[in-house]
Amino acid sequence: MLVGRAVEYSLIAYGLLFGISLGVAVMIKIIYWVVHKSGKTKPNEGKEA
Amino acid sequence: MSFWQFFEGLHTLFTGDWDTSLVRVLLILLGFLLIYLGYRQTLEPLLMIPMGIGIVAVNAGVLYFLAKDASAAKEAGTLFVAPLISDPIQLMKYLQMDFLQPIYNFTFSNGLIACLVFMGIGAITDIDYLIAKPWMSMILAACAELGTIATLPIAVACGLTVKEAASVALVGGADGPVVIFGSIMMAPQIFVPLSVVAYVYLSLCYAGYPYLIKGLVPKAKRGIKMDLKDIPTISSGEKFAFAVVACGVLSLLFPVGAPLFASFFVGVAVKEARINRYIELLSGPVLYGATFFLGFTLGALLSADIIMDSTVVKLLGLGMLALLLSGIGGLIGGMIWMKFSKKPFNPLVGIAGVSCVPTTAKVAQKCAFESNKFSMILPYAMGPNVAGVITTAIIGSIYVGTVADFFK
Repeated sequence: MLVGRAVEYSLIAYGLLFGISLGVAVMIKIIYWVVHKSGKTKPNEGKEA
Repeated sequence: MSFWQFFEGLHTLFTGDWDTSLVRVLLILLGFLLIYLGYRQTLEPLLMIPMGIGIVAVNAGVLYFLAKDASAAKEAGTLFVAPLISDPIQLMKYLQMDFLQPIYNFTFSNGLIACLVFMGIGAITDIDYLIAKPWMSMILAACAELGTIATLPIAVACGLTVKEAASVALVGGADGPVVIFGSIMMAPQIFVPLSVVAYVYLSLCYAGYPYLIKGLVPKAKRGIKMDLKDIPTISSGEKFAFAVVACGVLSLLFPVGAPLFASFFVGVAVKEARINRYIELLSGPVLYGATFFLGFTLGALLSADIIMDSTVVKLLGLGMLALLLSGIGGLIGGMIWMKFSKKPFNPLVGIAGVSCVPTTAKVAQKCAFESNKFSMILPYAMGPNVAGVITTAIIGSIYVGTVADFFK
């Protein structure tokens, strides 16, 4: 019984992990698009705080 | 008073029960072995030498304190650390007596040591390849969490509690700080042996994974050349923006993992903002200071009374199973990606999703190079390798945040 619940939990957790991983990939693509579209972001030239 | 009583450690070595004495001797030998393997660079010397010395010293240096009441039995202990103390008055006594007690209570018990290591890792991690190839990196890293997922029900079937099972399953993520963080949060009673098992196994990845690769992937596929011109150049601005946004979003989704996300991404942000003083601080004193005290304190925690628990044998087997399954998951992911990729793709990149930065990426490159000396896959492998740090922190956060509620 407990093992069955553990299998169910693991499958849910794996599904969630895949979903969030794809979400992170989408986020990276959006950031890439925004940064390149705006064309304003330039590499910091090494100024310290 | 006999002559031998001048040498208290030797005199008392066999005064307790024989099982404890035998385990103490075996642990001292284990400590010597870890020191030797660290010195020979077979295992990671940064961790194994301080850890081995800690194990030797704590098991050799057992004292028998005189009890206040003459009729009471003498109390065994060391002057290193007493991890099982929870009573505040007792704790105050040990904080003034055991020299590693402040390190344990103020950096281990609250997960600070894991966060310090994560800050350092963030400051030395190059996320270029993750940003350049996000789909491949994140999907392969998720595939390489197979051991983290599959070990949980197996551990439950072996008789561990759900929280203990989730803690040992995290070994499959091959990320030491996450194992420490997760086990402290979920199952502090197994934190010490589990952390030692995890770090020893992580050191063994470099030696063990090549056999797994050779067993599962044909030589022709191991030597596939990949086109390095396919990797775009990534600006600091993109990497910095990703670190800030990812930190906010993941902390919002998983508040319980926010300390880990904040620690990792602050390191990345500092690196990409090129704040050199902070980069030097995090990648030098913070990272290596934390790693030193992590190894030394873990070694000092591994005393005979902690290890003499039947759960430890299960942890040894399940930890290895978790890492094995994660490696297999990563390779399966690599094979599937190769099948659907339009360009030549080396499936060994998949095993780099096991987030032992940068060990597994180097293992993938080493095995590819052995099959074809013109096969350069390291830049591609670094993508899933870094993504693996993020996916392991995510799955750790899911476990810590939900495992208790799900099994109510």
